Amino acid sequence: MLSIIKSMTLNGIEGVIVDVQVDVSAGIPCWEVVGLPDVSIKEARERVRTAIKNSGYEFPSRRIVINLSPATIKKEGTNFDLPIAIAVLIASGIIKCFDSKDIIFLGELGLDGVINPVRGVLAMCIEAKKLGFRFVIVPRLNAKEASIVEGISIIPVETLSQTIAFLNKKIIINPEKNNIPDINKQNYQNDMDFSEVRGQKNIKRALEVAASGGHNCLLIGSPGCGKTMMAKRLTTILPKLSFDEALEVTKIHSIAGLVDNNVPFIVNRPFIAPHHTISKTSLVGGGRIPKPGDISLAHYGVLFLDELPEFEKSKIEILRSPLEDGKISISRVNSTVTYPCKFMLVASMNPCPCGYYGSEKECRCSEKEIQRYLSKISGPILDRIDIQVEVSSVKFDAFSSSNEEESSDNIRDRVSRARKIQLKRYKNEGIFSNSELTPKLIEKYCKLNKECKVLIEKIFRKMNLSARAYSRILRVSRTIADMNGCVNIEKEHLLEAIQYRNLDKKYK
Amino acid sequence: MGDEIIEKNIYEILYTDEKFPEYLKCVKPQIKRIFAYGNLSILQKKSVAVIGSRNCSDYGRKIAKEMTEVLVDNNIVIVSGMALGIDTIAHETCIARGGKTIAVLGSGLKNIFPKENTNLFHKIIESGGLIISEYSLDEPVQMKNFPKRNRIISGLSDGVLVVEASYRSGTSITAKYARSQGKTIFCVPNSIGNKNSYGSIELAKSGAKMVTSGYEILLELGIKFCKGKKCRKQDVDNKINNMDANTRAIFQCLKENECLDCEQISCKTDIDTIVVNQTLTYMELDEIVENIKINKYKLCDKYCE
Repeated sequence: MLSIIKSMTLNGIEGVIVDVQVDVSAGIPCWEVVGLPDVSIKEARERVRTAIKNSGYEFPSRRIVINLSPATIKKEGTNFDLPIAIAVLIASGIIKCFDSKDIIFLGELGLDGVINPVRGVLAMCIEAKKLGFRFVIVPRLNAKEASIVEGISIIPVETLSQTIAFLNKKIIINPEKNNIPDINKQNYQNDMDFSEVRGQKNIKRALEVAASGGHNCLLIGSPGCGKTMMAKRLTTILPKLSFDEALEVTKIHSIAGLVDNNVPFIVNRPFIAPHHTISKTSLVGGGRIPKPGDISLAHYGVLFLDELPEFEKSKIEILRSPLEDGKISISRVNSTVTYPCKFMLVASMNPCPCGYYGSEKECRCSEKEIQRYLSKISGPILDRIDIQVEVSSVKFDAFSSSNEEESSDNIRDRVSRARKIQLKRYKNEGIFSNSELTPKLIEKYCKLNKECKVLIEKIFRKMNLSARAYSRILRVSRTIADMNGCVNIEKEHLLEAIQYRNLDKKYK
Repeated sequence: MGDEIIEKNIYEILYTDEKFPEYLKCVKPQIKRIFAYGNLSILQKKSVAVIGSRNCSDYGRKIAKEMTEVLVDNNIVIVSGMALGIDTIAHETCIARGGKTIAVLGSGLKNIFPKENTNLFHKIIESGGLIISEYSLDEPVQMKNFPKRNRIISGLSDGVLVVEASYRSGTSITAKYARSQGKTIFCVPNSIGNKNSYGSIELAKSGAKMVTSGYEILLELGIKFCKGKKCRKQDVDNKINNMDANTRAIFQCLKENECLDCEQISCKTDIDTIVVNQTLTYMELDEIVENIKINKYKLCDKYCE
């Protein structure tokens, strides 16, 4: 007898419907899975058989053929365990016929019949709702995550026998209560705040500018001066995520299996800080069957590369096109997937190999060593980093002073205001912030008055800047103008922006 | 720049030629001939060799620059070996200051070494300098040739300034030649234990003249000099008088301290960092302050009394 059950798999960050077709017929007992399954699906055989047996039912000792349709998509993961088991039980007559067209099954089986959580439930439920399904049967532990989606009934199940009883209408399982998170309240707590950073007003201002315009930034400074501390607090001054943004972030984290089952909705902007030994694949995503990498996990958040020159050059270079496009396409033999990755790059580095160039301690590096160290960061990458500032060590008096430092919430209000101005201005351009301005758009939106033109010409001649530095200065000036609520770029905005490009000045 | 152009303009000067520099005649081992490219007339002028470590430190770089500037301002020709580090700084400072410089290569004139200095090679010629080698044009780059060319560097100059030298370096070899040729050797103080100080300290022990400024070199060589190009004092006074309040506060603050960054200036003057940044840009444009290290500022020389 043939039975067909609906389940889902993932393609990139979107769910795809998969028909699990099981045929149980007379013949020599065997178990055949077709439809491009990977090893974890082939292993389902033992899990399904033992789980059925341990739930008190008989596993049919007949010829069982399973097809996962569409058979052209490569499938992986353990979420087909439950649908296969259900389909087998229907085909062997243990579960009576029910209307299976409207229900999607997801879940991994344990040998004792317990249903374990799976990855990517949120993305699949969103897609299921779009396609008009009415029920999704999910593992109990995934229920909270799935219930974020409105307009579809989430049935949480714990064991196989419970599921069988439910499908045979012997028991009733209440759908999980809709759990649309309050974006402003839920799990929004930062244990970090900018007020903990003493002094460093200049860098704080630079970071505020960076956050306001979405500019990538590079912090240069000797060891222990507070680069990492400030970078970590950057997410606390970025505007709060909107519901749709938060949903997208949660989706990606769910696919990577990184969502907390109890608090499944991510409302904080992610802060991802990979170690410099990270592999290329885990940085940008990939694998035989692609998974999102760290740059996608940092979507709408901050990707922090500590000690930038320690990263292998090739690893930094692969960030070029994602930085430009805000997405990454991963092509493998089996499939091509695209993951979003609109992140803000924040990097830190020492000014020289010994770390003390320009600080009070004596630097013992030769010019050649410093040049070699700096050349690890290529021009094209620097090109994409609008703000480069040097962090000096904090003096003791700033450290011990009782001056009230500004809190992150205050700064965030200003940042959000500046962002709103940009969103309004660029609504027809397909970009969101000043950092995305192309040379053509710079011409359109960063018009300079006569006084500014004279000034910037003078600056260029005096400081020997490149064309690359020119667009960078204009983009940052535009952001500073927005922060001050000015329509046009004024002289003082330019003058300030020029100070945020330390690496252009090079070392003298 | 094609090789042909270089080839056409090269003079081959034999030992027996009239043009052969008097200085080089007594150099041992004897130089049979030299190939010269560029302005031969500067061979007649007073010259000082500025040499030092390829792996120079920040300190060495600063000293080499300062001393070279003083020498160049007093019409001294700077001789060096066009190696990386101090040599390059000496040549570059000299050109930037509008002086004339002589580079002595250890390879044929067609094989510029190190490659990074190809640009410098052409800049030296353009600025009216001279490039010399005792090897034929196509002589490849060979390590054994470099110590030998050092005798030409010392031979050409009236004095040799050693900025930084490590243990058993090429610089020490040049100093050895200089001593045997009876040239005055100048060295610069450096801290004990620093890898670049060994050579200078050894030289000082064995009778080299320790100097702390370019003027002392000039004095020793018996060259008349005038101290610094004193800029028009009135201009400076005018500028100081016309400063607005913020600029004046920052100016005073920098005057009292050697060099500061934006953060420190803001702390000391109680001016907001944003305004400090804006003002500093202006002051940099007006050449009141200059940017050193990465983001530190100090007053330009003419404002330091």
